[in-house]
Amino acid sequence: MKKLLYPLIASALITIVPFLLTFEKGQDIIRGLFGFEYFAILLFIVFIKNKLKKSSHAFAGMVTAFALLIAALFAIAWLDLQNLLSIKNWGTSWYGTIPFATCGLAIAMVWKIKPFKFNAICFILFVALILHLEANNQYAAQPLAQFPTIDYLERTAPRPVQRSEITNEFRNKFAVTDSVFITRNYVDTTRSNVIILVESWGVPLDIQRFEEQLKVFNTPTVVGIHNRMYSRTKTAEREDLIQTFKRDTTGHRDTTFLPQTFANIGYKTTFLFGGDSLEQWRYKYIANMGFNNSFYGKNSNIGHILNDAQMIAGIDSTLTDSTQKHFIAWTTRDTKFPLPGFTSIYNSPATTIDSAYTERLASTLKRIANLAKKHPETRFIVQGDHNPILSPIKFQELFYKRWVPFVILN
Amino acid sequence: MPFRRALTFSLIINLFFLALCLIFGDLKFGAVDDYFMAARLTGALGTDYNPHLIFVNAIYGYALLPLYHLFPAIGWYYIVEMCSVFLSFTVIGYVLLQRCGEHWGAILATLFTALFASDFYLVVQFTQCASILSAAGMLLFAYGIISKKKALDSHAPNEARIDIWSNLRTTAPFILGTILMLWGSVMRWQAFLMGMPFFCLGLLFILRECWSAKWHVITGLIILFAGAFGMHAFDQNIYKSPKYETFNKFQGPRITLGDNSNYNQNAVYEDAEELGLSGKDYHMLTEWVLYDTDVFSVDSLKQYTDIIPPYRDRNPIQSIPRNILKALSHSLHAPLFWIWFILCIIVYATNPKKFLYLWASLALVLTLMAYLLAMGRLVYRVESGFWLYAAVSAIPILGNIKISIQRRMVIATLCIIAILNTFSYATSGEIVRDPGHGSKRTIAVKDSTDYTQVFNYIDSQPNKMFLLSMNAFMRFSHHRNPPYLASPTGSFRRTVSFGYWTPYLPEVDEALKEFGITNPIKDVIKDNVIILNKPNLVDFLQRHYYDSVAVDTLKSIGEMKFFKYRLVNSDALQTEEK
Repeated sequence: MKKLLYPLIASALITIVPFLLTFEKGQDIIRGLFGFEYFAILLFIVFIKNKLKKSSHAFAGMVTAFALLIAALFAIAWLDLQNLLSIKNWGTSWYGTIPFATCGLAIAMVWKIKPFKFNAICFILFVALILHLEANNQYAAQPLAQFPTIDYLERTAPRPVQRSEITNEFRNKFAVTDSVFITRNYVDTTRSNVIILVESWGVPLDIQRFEEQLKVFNTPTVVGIHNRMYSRTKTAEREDLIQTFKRDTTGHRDTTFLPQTFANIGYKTTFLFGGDSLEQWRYKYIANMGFNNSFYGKNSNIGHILNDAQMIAGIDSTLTDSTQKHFIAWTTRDTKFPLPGFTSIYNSPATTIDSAYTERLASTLKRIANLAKKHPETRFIVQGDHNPILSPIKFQELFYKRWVPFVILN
Repeated sequence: MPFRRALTFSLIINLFFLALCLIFGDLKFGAVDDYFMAARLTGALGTDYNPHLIFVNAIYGYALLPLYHLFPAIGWYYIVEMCSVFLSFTVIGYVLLQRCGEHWGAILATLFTALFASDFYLVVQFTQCASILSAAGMLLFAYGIISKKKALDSHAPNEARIDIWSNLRTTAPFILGTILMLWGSVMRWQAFLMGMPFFCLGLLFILRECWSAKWHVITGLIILFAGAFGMHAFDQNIYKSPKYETFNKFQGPRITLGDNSNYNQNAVYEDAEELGLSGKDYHMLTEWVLYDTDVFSVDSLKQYTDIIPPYRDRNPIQSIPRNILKALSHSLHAPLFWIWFILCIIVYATNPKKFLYLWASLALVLTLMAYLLAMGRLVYRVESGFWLYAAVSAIPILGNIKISIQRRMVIATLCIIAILNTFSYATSGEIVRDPGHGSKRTIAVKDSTDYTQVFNYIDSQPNKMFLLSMNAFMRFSHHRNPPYLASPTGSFRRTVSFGYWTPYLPEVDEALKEFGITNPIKDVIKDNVIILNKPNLVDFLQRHYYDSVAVDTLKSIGEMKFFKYRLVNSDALQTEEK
């Protein structure tokens, strides 16, 4: 009985002492009573120690095995301690001495006891494992065994980057809002409004990168970050221009879009897109939003796709006509993924994609900034439509998910 | 124990549990796949018997054909599957009786069948049939090896004494074992293959005995592998015929879109939209509405399936041990696990030299489980197959159980097991373990629909084609005919599902063509087409094909609703013309 009980108590000692010493009132860390690995190693230590005493053949091998076991015991106890400390974000400090004390004590406890046979040890461990699992299935609040190495591996497994919560660093510097509606709060009914959706302009996780992008706008009225329901161009184009949205008791939806309101007060409302009208069914849903005009680079196979520079030239000439007030919504296209020149959507090198994207985005933003400078009488509302998608995952992970920047100019 | 006595015991035990299942259980296939394979066999989807069973080797189909021709009303597919389970249990029980003696053997064999009967008889299914057949075959083969060694040892002094009868006695387990394993490979190739590591492990632990029966073992293994691979190649060859070309190309996307959900579906939706594909269409595909030969042509499905791999859930190496431990602890809920555990304990208690089997078999199960976990395909029926293999492989290395048990005690134990089981089958015989995740439920979905009315409605309109949501199609399988009766030829011909693996089957395409339907989803507006339980296709139809579509409810019977789609504009035009 002693043969079994002493290693059990010793393994419990190594497992519980660091837990108790780091215990704080109110904490609820579920932790097993016996470290499974300690129990196994202690049984084997006793086994090998007695082999050492008895026979001299393969002595060197036995000594090595013995040393390795002792080292493993300390190493696992150390990992276990680190697991506990990491839950609380504590440093090692004096706690570092615990594993040495507990393991030393444990070895001393089992030093004198008689060993099990090798196959008996295997059997005991086998039964112990299943016993622990079954007990845990029945009563999960207090596990019997703890597996420090498995905990450690789990703790160190690479975790997906946190991309859904905007950090305080951003919140302190920019206006951050959960709302998906931006435009309706900033449109000005006394002058022309240009609403620009910048394709794939997301908020980089790296704040410096974001600040770098914003430098082209020298005195923006507001700079902020807002949320989107989906990372989808259609969502951005439609939802953002919603003025009111009602659902009556029968479930029927009644939506008023900003272009309708502006058209009613004598504005010329125009939707612009340099690409194909068939792309993403724009010809259908844009038509339902109440624009007076819509202009596409390509329409039923007539025309050709226009880039952002060409589109900006067009807007520029429209705005020079100061007799008519305009409400213009434009979705850019240069930064649309998949970027031209890359054959594979997901397997192109993330860094090359990144530099191509950065360059294209900077040039589009620069042109927008110049346009706004040229027409200070016009209100510009510039937003990202969604964070970059349809690109290598590594690149996508440089940006917040479902958060986009917005900049109000003039 | 004499051959005849052991066999009789095993037969009695297994007949008892078979009777319990037949009397109290809900006789259904464990998987809808089996039902429709059986239906395909009897030509329910087409016009004639078709032994090509898609997932089960066609040899099974060909073997059943004579039976169907003799007694066409009987569901032989089901009956023979049940027989295969019964045969396998009887073999395992027989070997247990032989290995553990009359007393302990009777208890163990009863326990074995008691714990497994419901999982196998009442959820009978090709994968599980394959597992139990392979397991029984492996066991019999291994039993052949150890009894050969025993026979050799006992005959050692007068080696000259070779009579045909004893020769046959020693060879029979090898022959029958190989046949059972081959049968297992016919029922499901992958399940048979998954058994092979366990077979090897089992043989490794009786290596010495293998050596003394080396000619039998080598011949047996050669026949087994040549036969298994030959039959598999034969089956695979059938589907290389050009008439299965579209069907084959359709399988990959179907599985990726319909069966797997181990990826970020939102991201795929968004990327599809960004690519100019339709997120709504993608959603339909994951809901098994995919029988549209234009918009969802097998080539265009690739556009959607290509988006999926980058968004698969990542499975870092470091989290594998934790996941395995979780999966193992989940396994403890399965009765099969405990049979393995009990047998492991007995191995250690009676034959401590073989203690390594405990950890080796556990490690093997965990490795295979880790492999399936990484693929996101660990399901109960496969997992229980592993424990079954591991349990069965332990039987040949059992030693003699030295603790004697009185006859009276044995009878008492058997009676208790019998009474408890009779009670539990009588009270909850319809409750079985779900083959997908092992939780308890009844096989048929309970609904208030009167299916006789549904089938009458369909049968009363012989010139109409009915297109079904996959869910309705699957429910039909529980109500159209019981598994032990054959689905009559042509009975499913006018009910075609939008999803499932039946689309693009040659006979289904042919039936559609006969009704003038070239593209099922597009042609829902045709006059001779009625839709069942799929009223929400309007948006799709208007997006891709027609300006304006309306849908009317024709009839509603319980949860089954019949709909008719029609073009609004053409109607308006027609009235104008008038």
